[in-house]
Amino acid sequence: MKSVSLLNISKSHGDKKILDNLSLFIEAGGFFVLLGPSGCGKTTILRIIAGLEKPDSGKVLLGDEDITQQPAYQRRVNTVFQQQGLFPHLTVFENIAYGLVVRGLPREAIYEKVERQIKIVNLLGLEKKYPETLSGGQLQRVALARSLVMEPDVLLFDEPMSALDARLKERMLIECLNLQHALKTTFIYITHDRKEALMVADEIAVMNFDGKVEQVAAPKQVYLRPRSRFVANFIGDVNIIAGVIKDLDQSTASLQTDIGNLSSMVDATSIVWSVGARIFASIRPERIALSYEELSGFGNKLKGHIESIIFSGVFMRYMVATSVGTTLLVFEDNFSFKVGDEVFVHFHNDDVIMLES
Amino acid sequence: MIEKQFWRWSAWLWFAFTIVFVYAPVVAMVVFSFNQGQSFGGWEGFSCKWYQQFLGSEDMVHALSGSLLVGCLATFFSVILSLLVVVASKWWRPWWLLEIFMVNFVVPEIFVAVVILNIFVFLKIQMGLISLVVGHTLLGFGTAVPLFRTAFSELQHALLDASLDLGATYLQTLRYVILPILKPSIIYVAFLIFSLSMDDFFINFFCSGVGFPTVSTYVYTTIRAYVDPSLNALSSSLFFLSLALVLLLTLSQSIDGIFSDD
Amino acid sequence: MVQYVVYLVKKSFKQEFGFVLAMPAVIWQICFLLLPALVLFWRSLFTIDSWGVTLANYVSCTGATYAAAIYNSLVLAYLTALACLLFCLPLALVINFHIKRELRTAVLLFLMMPSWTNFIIRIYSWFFLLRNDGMLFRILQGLGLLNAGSSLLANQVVTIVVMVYCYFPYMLLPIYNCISNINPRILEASGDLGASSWQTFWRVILPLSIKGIGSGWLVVTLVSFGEFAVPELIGGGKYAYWGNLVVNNFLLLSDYNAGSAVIFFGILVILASLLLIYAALKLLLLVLSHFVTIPQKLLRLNFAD
Repeated sequence: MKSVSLLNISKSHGDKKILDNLSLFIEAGGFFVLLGPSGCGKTTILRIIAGLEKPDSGKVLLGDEDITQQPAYQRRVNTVFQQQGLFPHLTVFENIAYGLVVRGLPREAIYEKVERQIKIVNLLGLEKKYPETLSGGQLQRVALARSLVMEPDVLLFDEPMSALDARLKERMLIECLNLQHALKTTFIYITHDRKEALMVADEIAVMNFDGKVEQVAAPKQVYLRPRSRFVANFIGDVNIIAGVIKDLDQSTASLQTDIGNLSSMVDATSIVWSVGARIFASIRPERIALSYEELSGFGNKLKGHIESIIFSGVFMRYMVATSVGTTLLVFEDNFSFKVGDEVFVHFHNDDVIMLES
Repeated sequence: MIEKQFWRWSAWLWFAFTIVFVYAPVVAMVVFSFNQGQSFGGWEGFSCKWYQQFLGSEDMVHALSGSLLVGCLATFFSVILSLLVVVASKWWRPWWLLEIFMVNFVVPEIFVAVVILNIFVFLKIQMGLISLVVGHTLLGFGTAVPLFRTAFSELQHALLDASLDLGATYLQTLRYVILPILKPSIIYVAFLIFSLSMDDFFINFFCSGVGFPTVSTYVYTTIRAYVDPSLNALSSSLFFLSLALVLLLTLSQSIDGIFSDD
Repeated sequence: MVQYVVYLVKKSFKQEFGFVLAMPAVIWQICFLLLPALVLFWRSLFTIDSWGVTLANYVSCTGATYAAAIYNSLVLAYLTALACLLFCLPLALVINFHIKRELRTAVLLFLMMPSWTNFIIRIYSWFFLLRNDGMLFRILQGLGLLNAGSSLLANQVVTIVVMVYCYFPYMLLPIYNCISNINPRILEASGDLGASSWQTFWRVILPLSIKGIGSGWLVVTLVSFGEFAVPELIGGGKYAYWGNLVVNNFLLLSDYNAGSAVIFFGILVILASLLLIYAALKLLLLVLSHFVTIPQKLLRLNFAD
C-alpha cells in the first residue's frame, strides 16, 4: 500500500483548462473518494494517476517515487473502468489472467493466482464464460478481479457503479468496502454520487465545476461542517441563507439574516470571522425540528407556516414559509403536519454553519 | 389493396430483371466455355477443350499468375499498412493523418496510374511487378483505410486503456487485443482488396510495362485483335475463383454487418 | 553504434508508438502518390518545345478535339451516374422492403458477385453476349426487333448499359446503407397519417436517403469519367474520350507534360461540373419550394461526404 501525491498538476484539453495547479495528497491504505459533478476533471485526475494521460505540468508521486514520466503499463497502479472494459474476445479466466500473461509469468503461477482471485470475488463456475453472457454485477466483479490479481499499490475506480441499479450498487459498494479493509490497498474512487461517497470513504475530496478541490476531509466532517456553499449543496440537501455577522465572541456568533436573527456556533478550527462580514448560514433540513408549540432547549426559534409537503418514504419534506418570507426546507419524520398549519421551527447553534460569501 | 399489389408485382419484376441483367453475361460465358464448337450462335455439345486450351496457353497462364502475384503482394502491403495507420491514429493524430488517404478513393484511377507511370519513367526504373504492386497498394489504401477506420472506431477504446493499465506494452496491446478483435474486418478487407486488385484495369494498363502480363492487359489486347473462345474459359475460371473466395469468406465468419459504409 | 541505433528505435517505439506505426503507410502514400502528383503538376507547366513556366498545355486542352473528348467523358460520366441511380434506387428499395431480413445480405452478396471479376472480363462478357453472331442478337432478330444491318455493339445506349453493369455496385451500396437505416416505424407512421406509397417515397424515403444517393453519385461520376475501355470495346471506339487523350499523350506520344496537363485539367473539369450541378440543383429546389412544399432535408441537400 502506498500513498499518492499530486503536486501542481495542470492539464488542458485543447483550449479548455481542466486542471489548474492542483495538489492533492492521498493517504496510504485508505479508501479515498474524489467526489464532484460530471465534467469537473476527476476522471482526468484518475487517468493521470493511472498513466493514461500525461499532465502538462506538475508531478505525480507514488509513495516517494516520481512516476510522472512512467507510462501506464509500468506503473503498479490498476484501474476498474466505468464500463468495465472487459475484453470481449477473452473468457472470464483469460480476462483476469491478462495482466499476468503479458508480464510473462509461468503458467502454474498464473493459474494459481487467477483461481484464488476468482474465489475471492465469488465467480466460481464462470471461468469459461464470455463477457457478453454475464450480468452487470458479475461483469463488475470480473473487472475487479482482473485488477486485484495484479496486486497493485493503488487501485483506481472510475465511477464503476454508474451502470448498476440501486440495489446492486449498494451490495457492490459494501463488498468494495470490505475488500479494502481486508487488503489495506489504497483505493481511489471517483464518483458524482454523494451517497456512494458518504458510504465508503475514509476521506472525501469534493471538487467543483472548475476543477478545484474545495474540501478534503472525513465524510462526517464534509457533511456536518462543509467549508463552502458548493460543498454544502453538493453533499446533501441544505438551507442556505444570506446574512451578516452582527456580534461575535468565543463560542457564538449573532447573525442578522433574511429570516431573522440567528445564533451560530463558532468553529475554532476554521476561518477567522470578523464582525460585519457577509456570510451564508447553512442549516441541514433534518436538523430542524417542527412543532405546533414553542420548545425550549434550542438556540434558534422561528415562526412560520407549512407551504407544501412531499412524501419521501423515510421522512416528509416540508417547505416552511417563515414570517419574513424565505422558505426553509425541513425533513421531519412526524407526518401529522398539514399545509397551512402554523408551526415553530427549532434548531441548535451547532447546526448553523457559517460559510464564506 | 390494389396499390399494394401493384407495388409488390413491380418490385418483383424489377428484382427479376436485375438478376437477369447481372447474371446474363456471366451465365452465357460459363455456358459457352463448355461449348463444343467455336461459334457463339448455338450450343454444339459439351466439351472441356477450351479449358484445356486455356490452361495450355502459356500467355494466359502467365497473365493469370501475374495478376495473382500482384494481388497477393498488394493485399499484403495494403492491409498491413492501412491497419497500422488506423491503429496509430489513436495515439498520434495530426489532422491530416487519415485524410491524406482519401485522395486514393476520390480521384479517377487513371490519375493514380499516370502518377506511378511518371515516377518509374522519371527514375528510369523498369516497370513491372514493382510498379504494379505499388499502384495496387495505393488503390488498396483507398478502400482499406475507411473500412478499418469504421471497424476500429467500433472497438471500445476503454479496452485499450484497460490493456495498458494492466501492464501490456503498446505492441502487446496491438497483438493481444486489437488484432484478435479486428480479425473479421481484416479478413473482409483483405478479400475486398484482393478482388479489387485482380479486377483492376487502369493501373495494369499503364504500369505493367512491356514484360509483365496481367489478365486485364492480356484480355484487352486480345479482344481487339481477335476473339478467342478460350477467353471464355479464362473468364469462367476467374468467376469460379471469386465464387470460391466468397464462399470461403462467408463460411469462415458471420457476414451480418459487413455491408456497412463501403 | 548499431546498438545505439537499436536502442533509439526501441525507445521511439515505446515513446511515440503511434508515430512509428503510422510511418510506413504515410511514407508510401507521400512518396508514391502525393509527391509525384505534385511533380506531375509541375511538369504540366512546361512544354517540350519551349522553356519556362507556361500554361500552354492547359490552353491546348481547350482546343477543339481535346474539348470534345472531355465533353464526351462528361456526358458519359453523368449519363452513367443517372442510369445507375435509376437502376439502383428501385433495387435498393426492393431489397430493403420486399425481401426477408435474413436473406438481405445474401441477396446483396449474390448481386455483387459478378462485380468481383476482372473489369475487362466483365466488358468482355457483354461483348461476347452482344456479338452479331451471338445468341442474343439472333433471338432479337428472330423476334423482329432488329434488322440484319444493325448491330448491338457500337451503340451508345448499349455503352451506357455496360457502364451501369460495371459501376452499379458503387451506387447500390451507399444507397442501400442509407435506406436500410430508415426505421420502418417511420414508414408505418407515414401510412397511418394518410400518405400513399408514392408520397411516402417522396417525403420520407427520398430525403432520408439523399446522403447515400449523393455519395453514390459522386463516386460513380468520378470513376466513370476516366473510363475509356468500355466505349472503345463496346461502343466501337467511334468517339474519343478524356481517357483516350491521356493514353495518347502518355503512352503514344510520351509527352508527359501535355499529358499531365490533360489529367489535371480533366479532374478540374469534373470537380467543377459536380459543384455546378450541386449549386444548380440547390437553386432549382429553392425555386420549386415556392410552388410545392419540399422537405427541408431535400432542400438542404446535405451530402456530408
